[in-house]
Amino acid sequence: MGVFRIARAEFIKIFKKPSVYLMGVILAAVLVLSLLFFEPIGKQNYSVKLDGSTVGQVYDMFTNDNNISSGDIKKSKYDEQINNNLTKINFYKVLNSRNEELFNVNSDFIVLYNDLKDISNSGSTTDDKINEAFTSVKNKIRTYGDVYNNITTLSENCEFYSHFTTLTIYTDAKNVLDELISRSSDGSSVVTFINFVENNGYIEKLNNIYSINKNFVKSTLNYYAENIKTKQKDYYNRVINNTSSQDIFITLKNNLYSEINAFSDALNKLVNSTYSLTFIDKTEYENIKNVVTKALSVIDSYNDSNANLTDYQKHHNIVLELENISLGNKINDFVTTLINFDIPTTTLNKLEKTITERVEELKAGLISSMETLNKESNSSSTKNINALNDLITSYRTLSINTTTMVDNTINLEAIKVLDSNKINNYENFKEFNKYEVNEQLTSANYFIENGVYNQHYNDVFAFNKNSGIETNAYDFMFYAMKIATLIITVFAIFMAASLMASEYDSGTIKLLAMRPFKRWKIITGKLLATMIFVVLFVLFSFLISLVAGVCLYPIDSTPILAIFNATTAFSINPILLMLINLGFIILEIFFYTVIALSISTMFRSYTAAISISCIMFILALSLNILLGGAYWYSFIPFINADLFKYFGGSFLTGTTGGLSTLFSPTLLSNANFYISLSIYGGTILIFLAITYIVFKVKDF
Amino acid sequence: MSRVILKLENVTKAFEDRVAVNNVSFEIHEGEIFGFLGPNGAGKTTTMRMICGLTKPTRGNITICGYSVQRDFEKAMQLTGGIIENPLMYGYMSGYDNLKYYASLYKGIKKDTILAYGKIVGLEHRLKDKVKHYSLGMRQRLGIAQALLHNPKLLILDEPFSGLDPQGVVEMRKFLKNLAQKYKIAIMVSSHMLSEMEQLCDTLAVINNGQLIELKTIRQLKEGIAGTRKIKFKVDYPNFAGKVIINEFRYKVEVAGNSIYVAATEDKVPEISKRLLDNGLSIFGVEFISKSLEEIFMDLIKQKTNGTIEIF
Repeated sequence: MGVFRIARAEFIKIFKKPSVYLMGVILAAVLVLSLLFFEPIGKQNYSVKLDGSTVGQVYDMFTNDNNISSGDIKKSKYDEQINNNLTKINFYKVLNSRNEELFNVNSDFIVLYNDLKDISNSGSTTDDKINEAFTSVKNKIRTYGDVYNNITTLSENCEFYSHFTTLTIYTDAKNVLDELISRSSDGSSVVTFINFVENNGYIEKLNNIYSINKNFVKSTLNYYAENIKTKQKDYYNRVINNTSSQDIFITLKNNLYSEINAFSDALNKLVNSTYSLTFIDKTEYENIKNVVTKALSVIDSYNDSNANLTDYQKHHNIVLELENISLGNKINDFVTTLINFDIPTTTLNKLEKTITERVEELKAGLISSMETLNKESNSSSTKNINALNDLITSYRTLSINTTTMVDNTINLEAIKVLDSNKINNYENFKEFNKYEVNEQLTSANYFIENGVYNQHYNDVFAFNKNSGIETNAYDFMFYAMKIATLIITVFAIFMAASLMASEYDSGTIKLLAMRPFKRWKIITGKLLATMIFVVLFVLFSFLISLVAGVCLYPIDSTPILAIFNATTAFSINPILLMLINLGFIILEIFFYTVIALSISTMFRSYTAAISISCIMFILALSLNILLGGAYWYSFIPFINADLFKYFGGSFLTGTTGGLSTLFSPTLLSNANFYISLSIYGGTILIFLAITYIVFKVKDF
Repeated sequence: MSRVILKLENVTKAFEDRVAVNNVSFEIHEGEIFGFLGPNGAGKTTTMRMICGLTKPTRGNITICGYSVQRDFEKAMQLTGGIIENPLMYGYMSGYDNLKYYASLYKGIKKDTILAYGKIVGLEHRLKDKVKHYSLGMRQRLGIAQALLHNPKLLILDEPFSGLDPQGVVEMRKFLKNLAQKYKIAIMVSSHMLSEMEQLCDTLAVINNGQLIELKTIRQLKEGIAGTRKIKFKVDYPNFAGKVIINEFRYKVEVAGNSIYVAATEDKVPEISKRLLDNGLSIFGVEFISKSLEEIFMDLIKQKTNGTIEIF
């Protein structure tokens, strides 16, 4: 009870201060002024508007590929996009299954072969048994060959893979299998076959086949490294010993040159592959590219006509420099920095199932609705045409959502092997924000699961942005409340500091501390009073922004798709979301209020409290701009004061800059509501604990 | 014996570098006005701050109406009011609002009560003015008003006379005496103004260097003063006169100029005069000399401490 009595007394005291009314006037003035700077960015418009005068015309534009007036808006095109996703899923599935099959068939073969060896060596068995075992081995090695040769899907869909199959490492392995197959079926005896396998080290060769194929990216690059090393060594030896003619030097030089070029091409294919095949560290990639360029330019220097050197001297210089660069070894080193990832087949199957069942079902539903409308194909009613266009839009967003679902799921699976704070070090993952990717995925999944479409939902509120196609009252309210938060925070800092520190300055703290209240009640009462003040000011500015917003813009009650913590999507009424926002605004200001109260208690100084708290606040705002990307940034306590950002819309912030960045903090890859909440709560608890202890033991 | 309101038992407050209050014990009863005297830095304010719970004693107990200040803080403080070190009030608020603020910290203090206390301290016409326009004395009186709002049993007043004009001092004295007599409030007052204390207090305590030197009622003090009286005889031959008195009466005699000072009571004057005249001495004047309260305290402090004393 004591706490509330103090809170009430302090609250009344606050409103005796003339400055409070000045604050109210300033707040109102700024909110009204903020109208002048309100220029919201538009929402992504999903709507398709095919311009036909009848339903039939629009329907034809969409479904008939020969009708070119609708450009890219074609059923067939969207179908193709959806199917591309299936191709992609299939590619990874085949890659997985090929590796698995190769592994299995390899181990099976070795088991069967060892059985055959044992039976054959024992000498006491019948020919039937030996023949039976030999047949099993023969069958297995044929299966092996079949599995190995079955590469159509992979080489058709991936240029790099198809390139790999042209290399001798691939064909050599194939030859090994062919030889074994022919040896096993050329009628020679079991003993001859075993001798052949043993004497030529075929077991080891078979093991190699599996690992070369499993690691085809690394094998390919290392293959080039070996070739470069061999060619470079040959060139080097001939030149140093000076045993060959000038023509041979030139041939050797040119061979090396084209080999390095071939490597460079292979690297390009890898990096630009449609499907991610491996993680390539961007620094390592730049390094190896530079080394390649350097090696090529060293060889090119031979043709430099200005050089005052004999041809031999030129070759001599080149081989020495190349030896120095040691490209082959550098490639080997580069290969060790590549990281393989794993997309589990179960995940791929689930995606495939979603597309072939759910997405197809939705497609069929949309098509049948379109057909229903098309029954009155001569209708020129705007309502019907709009309805058809809406269905077409849905078809389009369905294809977009499907792609988002597949890409994001695969990417998120792939990056599991990476250290989360190093994701951006990898080629193709430079702009990868795990939080955003998750958020997009959650949103796409929501639309697909529920059979609803993006254009029927508004975006989550963001600073100076439209949540719907047209600017609505809520957009202005959100914008104005962000600005109000800034101002009220400063007011709250002043208020908390003055409630505490000015008591020290005037000595009235003595009169207060000798009241029949334990010390903690005094602190709590003052904190409570400040928070009531804050709540009143938040409500006051809400009221102003509400009135201004409603007067100037329409109210749009389209539901909003909020995505909490990037994992839970839910549709919510904008009014409700606005109220949630108010709650989080109060929490944010509470954070700074506690800090200001705490500092003023510790330092007993009004000026110190205000300056420290304000500096922290300004720092928090400017850090949004300066350090948005740093990993440790999210662990700075005051970055976590604004928790509303965890309600979605993070991917809408991409186009912001300047002032907008100030008000819409970026969410980092590693962002997580619960971590932020813990940091927020922990910081407040620490500050409060210090304040209570300091105030309890303090002498007045 | 009337009820004990405030009781200090062996209270000690030690800071890192010095002992501010050393083993102090005393009691204050209801209706008693207790004067607390001592030079600056003697430990007066520290003792009062401990009584009000503003700082904790290192050792010892303080109880107010039986409630320990350390353990039963809220109950003890419910019965206590006071002002320590003359704080500024909230300047941006009116006197009335200041009082209202303090009143709102307690249960059920009505507007009438606030106005009544405003009147008691003589601020009834200025209550609507902002406190920042108040004089020091007005603030002092406002401070006392806020200390009385919740009807305390114990009133702690640190230097209530500072900043008051002579007229104010007289009024304050009357006011406090009235409070003690009429409402049976125990009042503890610290002050430099010894004469005021003499007229106001029932009991006086002297503290120096953190130690309680003397604790006496005013009656005891007055008796003490009576014991220190001397008779001054102005004579023509003081040295001879002195010898005569020492021989005849065995009184202590001091000779200064043409006067002698005899440590004797008034009733001895005829006897001493007769003896001096019998010895052929002429008496030009007889005067009764007594030590002032100040001198007694100075002596007290000199006796108990070896160091220097600040004049208070």
